[in-house]
Amino acid sequence: MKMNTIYKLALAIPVIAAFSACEEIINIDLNTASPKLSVTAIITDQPGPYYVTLTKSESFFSSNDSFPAVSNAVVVISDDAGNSEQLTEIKAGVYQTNNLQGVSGRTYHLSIEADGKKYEASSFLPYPVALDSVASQKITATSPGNKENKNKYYLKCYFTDPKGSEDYYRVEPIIPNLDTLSSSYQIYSDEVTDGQHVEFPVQKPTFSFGDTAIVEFYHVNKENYDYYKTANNILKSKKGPMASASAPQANPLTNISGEAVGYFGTFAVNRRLIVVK
Amino acid sequence: MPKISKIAALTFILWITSVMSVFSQAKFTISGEIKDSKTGETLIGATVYPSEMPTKGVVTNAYGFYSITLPEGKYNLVSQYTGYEKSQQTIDLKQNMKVNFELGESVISLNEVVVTAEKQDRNITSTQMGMNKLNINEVKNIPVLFGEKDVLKTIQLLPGVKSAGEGNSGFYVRGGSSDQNLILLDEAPVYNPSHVMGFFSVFNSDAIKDLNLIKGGMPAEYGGRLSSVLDVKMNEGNNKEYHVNGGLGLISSHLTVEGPIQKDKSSFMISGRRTYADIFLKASSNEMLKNTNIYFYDLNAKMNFHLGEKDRLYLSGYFGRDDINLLRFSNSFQSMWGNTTGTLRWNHIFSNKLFLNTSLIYSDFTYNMQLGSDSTQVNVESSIRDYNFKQDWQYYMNSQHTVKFGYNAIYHSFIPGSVTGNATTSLVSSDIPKRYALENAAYLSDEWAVSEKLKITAGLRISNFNQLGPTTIYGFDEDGTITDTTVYKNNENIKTYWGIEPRLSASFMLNESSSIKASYARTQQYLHLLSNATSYQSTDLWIPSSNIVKPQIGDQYAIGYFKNFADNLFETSVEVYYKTMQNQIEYKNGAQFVLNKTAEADLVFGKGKSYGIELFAKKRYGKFNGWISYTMSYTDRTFADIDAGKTFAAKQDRRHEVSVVGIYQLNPRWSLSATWIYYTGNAVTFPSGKYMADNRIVYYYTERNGYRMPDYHRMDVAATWIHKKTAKFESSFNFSIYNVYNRLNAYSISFRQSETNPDQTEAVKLSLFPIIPSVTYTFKF
Repeated sequence: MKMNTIYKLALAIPVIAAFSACEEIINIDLNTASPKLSVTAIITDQPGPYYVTLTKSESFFSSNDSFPAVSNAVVVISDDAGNSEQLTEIKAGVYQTNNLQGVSGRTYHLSIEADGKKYEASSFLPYPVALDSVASQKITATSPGNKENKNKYYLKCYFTDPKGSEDYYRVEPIIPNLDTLSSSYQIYSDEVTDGQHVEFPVQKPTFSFGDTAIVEFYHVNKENYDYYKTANNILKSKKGPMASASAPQANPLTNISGEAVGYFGTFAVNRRLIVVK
Repeated sequence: MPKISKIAALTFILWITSVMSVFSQAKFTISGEIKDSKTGETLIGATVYPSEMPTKGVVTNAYGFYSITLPEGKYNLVSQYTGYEKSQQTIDLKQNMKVNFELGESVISLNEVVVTAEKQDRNITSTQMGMNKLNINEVKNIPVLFGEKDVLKTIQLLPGVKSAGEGNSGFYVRGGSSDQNLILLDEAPVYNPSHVMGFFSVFNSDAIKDLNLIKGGMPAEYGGRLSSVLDVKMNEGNNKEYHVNGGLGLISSHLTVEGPIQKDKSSFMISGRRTYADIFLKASSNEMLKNTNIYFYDLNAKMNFHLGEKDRLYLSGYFGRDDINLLRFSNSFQSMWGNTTGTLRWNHIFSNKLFLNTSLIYSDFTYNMQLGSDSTQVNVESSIRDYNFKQDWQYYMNSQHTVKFGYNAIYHSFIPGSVTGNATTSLVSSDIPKRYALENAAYLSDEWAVSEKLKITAGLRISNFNQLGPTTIYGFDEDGTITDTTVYKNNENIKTYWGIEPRLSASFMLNESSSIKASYARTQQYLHLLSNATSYQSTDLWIPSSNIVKPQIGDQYAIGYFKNFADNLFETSVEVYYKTMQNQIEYKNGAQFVLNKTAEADLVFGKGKSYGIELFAKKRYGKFNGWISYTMSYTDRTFADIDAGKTFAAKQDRRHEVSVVGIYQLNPRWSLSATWIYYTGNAVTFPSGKYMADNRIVYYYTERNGYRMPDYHRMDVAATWIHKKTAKFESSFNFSIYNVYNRLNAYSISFRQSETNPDQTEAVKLSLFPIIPSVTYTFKF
């Protein structure tokens, strides 16, 4: 289990329990930064096509469904084996590959020209790691602010970490109607479990008895892991006294150069279907 | 330049003549101890002066010892101390002599009420500035959260001291961070002075005698921290009779027993406190809460022995632990942390002019965590441990000079987080290498009464820090990837730092009731706290200076005007300070300190600056007493790696701060008190936009600390009712109301997706403590 998460949980829970804190939605004046290009580009070792989505940042209190698409950009992806292609814009702001195939062990290069500016990123596609099994586990105790988790289940992923290398993982359960907008990344680093058989508890989302889910298990590189880890500082909605006790907020670490936000992800994928019971 | 050297030469000649003057006149020395007549406790900071020459007065040291040198003659020697009756003795000074005083508590000083019967003008005459001394009785009267009396919260009502947050015992002094406060309990450094995430301090006020906070012009005998010294002294215990006192409060109970071991010669004091939140949680219907166990306890103990006329031995210790047990999902979690300190001190009086204290000090802060699930059992431990040897000499040379000198050697060991697992665990034991260091310091200072009006205290502290083996040092590149590994042998020197720390303060009496003071101090700090929180946390990690982390250096200049009115009934002061700080530490985005071999790679270094003005007015005695303080200050930081080197407001930057404290003695049975505080918001980082990436809404941040929290204000009131008071038994009730007008102050402002409308993002204000009444019962027999 990720130590960081545990520390935070352990510290937050008892204090929330001990004191009756009070929450209130308030109006607050926030500045609006000049719009930034947001990039979501993902290549996996699974068959394509792959997509690059370009949007712009917005003022903080604007609606969540109105991020402006960035059209007419020149998006090129190449790899270190000499393949290169320009992506086709299939709808506003969404660019699709034509023939490119993600291969483990290769480094991919992304270049974007949009609104007269150039953005670059490189990312290594790791080798796949087998997902041995996935199990579900009933939640035995719930935190006080989280009553809806009673009688719910969470997933546990089992895999064997390759010995001698630094490895990073992410799990994304795919279920219909899942609100992903504010869900944090479920990530794991092998820093204290190198070469071991690992149990990776996936804390979110939780499931009901009988649910069916596809679990996507990604072996990711360090730069992508750093993006997820630092994005989680923002995505994990902080409640209670820990909200102000956390580190100063900052933008996630991205592998894209040139003042863009978002990231260029390349990972090896394993999928498994599970029925929660 | 020649002018300066001329002045220096003149000063030196003046100094030499004043040092030599001891030989020119027939002078004798009076020395002795000042004690409480009822308990035998020595009194710290009590004054002694001949009524014929009131300006020649001296003050007792931390052990109640004084020495005064006067020309041959007949004197009426007076001793006085806040809250005590004045005592006088007529002496015929023809040879060196010993005069002890025993002061009785003043009659009008009712139980735990600050009524000062005496006039004091020490705040004006001494060279020390930026200092606040609190009598523990003052602390006991001030209303606090849950009725839990807390010295660390009371000092936050003083000018220049800022609270680290609502209900928090962490504090910032003059723009410094919380790890820049040297917190001493009977000379032992306390590395984490808080319980339960900072809501309570480790100082059980029943066990405390006296505390002293130095914000500027740090004397040469103190060092190792940049901002301030909080010197807390434990009670010694009554050496005349046995007493028990205790209290029952809302969240904790405490009990103290004290008495003589051998009457008038030795005494002991033992005091304990325990919270019982866990008992309430057990009764909860919520399964999660039922499975949660949280409590803390403290134990203070002290013994002291008079070994003849010239020697005194003190043994004191503190032990405290926080314990949290809980279950989440199917994992169990246990976390335990706390401080242990031990101090053995030996006072020896070589002559009526030379006093020596030798201390052996142990201090430890340990954090322990155990984590268990179906298949795994993991233990994590981190700690800092000190062995400290210290000698402090005081030489009362003559009526013009008091010289202090001494040295200090501390051996530090650090466990930055070791992980062990059980046999079936999938964890590889991953030890972050332990660190060791030796910190030395030597100092010399002279308190020189140049004339009736001018006093100068000049001192120099030389410090030295050695990072030692055995350990493994990792070299790393910009990404924090390990590039090389060096293994050092036992006690092998890895890195050495030196510090030359001049300390200078002066006071000039403008007239009998007012003075101007100025000070300069350089301070150097070799230990650094890694914490990504604003308050003290159990997971805080102390690290030594190393090849990567340089010592922090502070320079503070201050000037002040001090004036007393109405025969010292009112005390007022204005102080202005300017302070620079070098080698300050912040964290890179995504920094991780726990279980990170290259935690140092996650640090960035820069500088800081703070300046401000502090106003203070106090009514010192009478039926109604109290104080008002106002602080205006600016604090910033500049880091090459944060916001491209742009200067930003530090998190403790708070422009205006006001506190008002009032205590009123209604009648012999009832006393009332109230405090009101107001401050403008801290600097915080809020988002300035948002974007969609990977199907997630991510907030966009621009500059560090570019926004402000809303203003904070709060009023607390308390009433103490003496229920019963006889010679044998005393009991009282304390009723207090925290946040009496129920202001919902913002503890934090956070941002999230609206739960009702997913298309919207919202700002959420969290308020922690609404109006909270509490009652405490205390007894004494």
